[in-house]
Amino acid sequence: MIDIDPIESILSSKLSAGAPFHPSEVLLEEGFVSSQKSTDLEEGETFVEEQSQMGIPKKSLTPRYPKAIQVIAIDSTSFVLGHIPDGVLGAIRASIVTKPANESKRRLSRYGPHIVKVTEQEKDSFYQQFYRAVYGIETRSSAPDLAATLDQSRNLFERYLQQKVVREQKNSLILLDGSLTAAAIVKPSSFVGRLLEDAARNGSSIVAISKTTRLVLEKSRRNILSLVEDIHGPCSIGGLGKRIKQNQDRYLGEIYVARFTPFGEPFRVDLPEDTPIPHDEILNLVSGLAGDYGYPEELRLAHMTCVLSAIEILELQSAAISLHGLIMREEPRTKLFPL
Amino acid sequence: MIRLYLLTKDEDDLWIVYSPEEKVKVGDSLQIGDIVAQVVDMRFADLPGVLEHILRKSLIPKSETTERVQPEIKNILDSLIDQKVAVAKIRGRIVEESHGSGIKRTFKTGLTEFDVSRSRSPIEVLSQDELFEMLKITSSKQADFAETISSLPKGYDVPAEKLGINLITGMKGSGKSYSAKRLLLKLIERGVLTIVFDVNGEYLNLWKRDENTPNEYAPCLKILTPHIRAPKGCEAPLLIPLNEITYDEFATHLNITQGTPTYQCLMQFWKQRSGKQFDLNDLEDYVADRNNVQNEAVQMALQGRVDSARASGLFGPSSLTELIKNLHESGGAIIVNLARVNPWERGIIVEFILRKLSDLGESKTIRAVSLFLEEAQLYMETKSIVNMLTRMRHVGVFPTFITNDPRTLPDEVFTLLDNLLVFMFRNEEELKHLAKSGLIDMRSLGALKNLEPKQCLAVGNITSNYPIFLEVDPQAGVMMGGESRRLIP
Repeated sequence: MIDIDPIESILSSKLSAGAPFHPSEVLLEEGFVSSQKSTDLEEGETFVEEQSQMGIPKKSLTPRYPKAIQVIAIDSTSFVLGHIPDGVLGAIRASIVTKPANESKRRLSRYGPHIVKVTEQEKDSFYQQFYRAVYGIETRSSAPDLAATLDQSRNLFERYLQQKVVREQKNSLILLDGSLTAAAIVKPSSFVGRLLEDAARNGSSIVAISKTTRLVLEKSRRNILSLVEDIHGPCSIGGLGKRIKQNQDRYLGEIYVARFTPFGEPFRVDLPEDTPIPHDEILNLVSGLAGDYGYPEELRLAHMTCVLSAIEILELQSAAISLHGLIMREEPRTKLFPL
Repeated sequence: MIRLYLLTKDEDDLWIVYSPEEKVKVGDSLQIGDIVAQVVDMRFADLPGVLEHILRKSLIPKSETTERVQPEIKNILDSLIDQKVAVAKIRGRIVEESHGSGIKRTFKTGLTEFDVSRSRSPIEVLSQDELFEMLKITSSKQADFAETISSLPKGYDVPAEKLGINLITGMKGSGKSYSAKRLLLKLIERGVLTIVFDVNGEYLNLWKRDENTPNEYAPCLKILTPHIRAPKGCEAPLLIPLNEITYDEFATHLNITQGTPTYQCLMQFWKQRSGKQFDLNDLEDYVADRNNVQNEAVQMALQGRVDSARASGLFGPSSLTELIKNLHESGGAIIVNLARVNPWERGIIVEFILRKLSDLGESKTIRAVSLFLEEAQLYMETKSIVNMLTRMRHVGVFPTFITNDPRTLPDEVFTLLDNLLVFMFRNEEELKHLAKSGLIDMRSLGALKNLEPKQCLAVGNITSNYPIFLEVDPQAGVMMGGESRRLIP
């Protein structure tokens, strides 16, 4: 297990007892409650040069299961449990799924859930403190709104674990949910750069996989994921990074669009420039890991094991009430046994 | 603080939701408002989304998972999927009545109003003391026949004065025989005489503390064993005076076909001596006299039967009447050892003893005796059982049937049953049969499937008709036996 003591102490802070608590609505029938990772979304549409679209190299992928290579996938989740005066209480949790080299069974290391308090009065200091603990640098940025601050906490938590994994693990294929895009506030370029350097030093290859992207083809205004629409079978299209028209320096590494299984979904795949394994081979290996809908199984498991079920959210709401001595404003039984 | 919540009412069941920390047991009586309901089943509160939650947890085995959860919330996680529902059968209600200067709480069956609020009606486990008091079940502090199965257990003794027609039943190994023996010892302590028809020889060591030492019950325990010649310890020969059985029983026992000259000769002998005492010597003299039996073949046949009867050691002068009279005064038990007796002999012995009890009862020589019938179907025909049920109670004979299959008993046992002690059963058919008694409903009987050995449900006059779940206490200082032999020790 990764040592999370430095950030756990930041996450845990108490509320004064007796504060009212309005829990978020949860429908047990839904099973799982989806949470939007807003911090991973790019800020706006970015155009990709399309003039020589015909010339963009398209390659077929040959799925190859990375039997001898350790595969590590990291994902995290957050959820607003409810509202308190001037703030929210949320929960964050992260999962690291590892398939060791020469083994097929997977291991799970799970961090959380942690109940996080974000208030209007304390959110800036909380955010700055958390930021410093994760990135090792100061930020003077103010925290965004309450829900976004919770999501950024989740993001920082995930970055912390990514850093640790990349530093501690060697010769691995490290799958991240998202992109290698550096964002000025939530993901400084120094962080992404350092992450890639650490990975390279340890002989690991980072593969960042996005289910969505704001990269749009300049002329047709179609999303770059449409590039593999008419191609049959597992395939990839590369060379997109160099064709980005705006803020190209934010995009670290090469950008691909890939479909990992014959009828799978298309994904954006960001690979660092200098990986120990050639890009084509990495894409073949990821294709070998792809399960339902063409998404790598380790990353799918990391997501499914970190996301909070409706039942867990009710339990966490109950825990929050007990932990902080809150007074609930709603009859819980109507939630427990909805008619 | 007890956290129990009323979820719903389904016919005469109340569904109560409770958290895993609450100690609720099958058998607990709950007070919901003024309603009294007894827990007969427990299950998970099946919330929507539980399947998905559990399936997701199964994605990666526990053995391959390490977790670091915020310590303060660790205990609460996974508590919701462990929420339980207790299914409680409505038994009645509590009525508060003025009693002198105070208020007395009494239990009444039936429910014509349902004035209960899910949010406001308090729910609590009724203490067994209060329940017993309301039910007017007297149980001293020393009560040690059994302990009630409850989160607040209490000692219980079977009130002997409320025994009538009783049934102790349960599957093999459920503890019914052990409990029957405990009940027998309790009856001895209460000064009651019990006659036990012991088909498996299970009661034969009750007078021993261990293999070499008699116990406190030894002076009031007598074992009557057929075919033995001399008394030994508590054991004495069981002899039947010839004049106390019918010629037909004798003929059947000695294989004399009805209607034959031999049978008719036997019949004549019995009729000649009707109302008088006679024995095998008298029969032998009768047979030897040519005036009585002219046919030599018949004479030889009857002499052969007399020799066989004498060799069996079953017929002879009996001190049973005196024994019954004596033990009736002091309290005790007569164990009729039927373990090594053939079925026909069993029938004769049982009929002889029942006739004896009936005569003594009718003549008011004895006031009342208890009768334990282990697997009665092995030595009594249905009409004899029915006859006993309808007639014998009026002469002070109170039968307790003990069987591992209630279906072997005639329906009349169930319609006339006063008390039922039922141990574990897994078979639905047997449970349905027990429901015929009307003492208990099927839902409550369903709880028996999950009882442990020596745990039972008692209902009837002995519990003021309120079903009480019991765990029979162990008996010290008595060789209870009953354990089946093992193929390999």
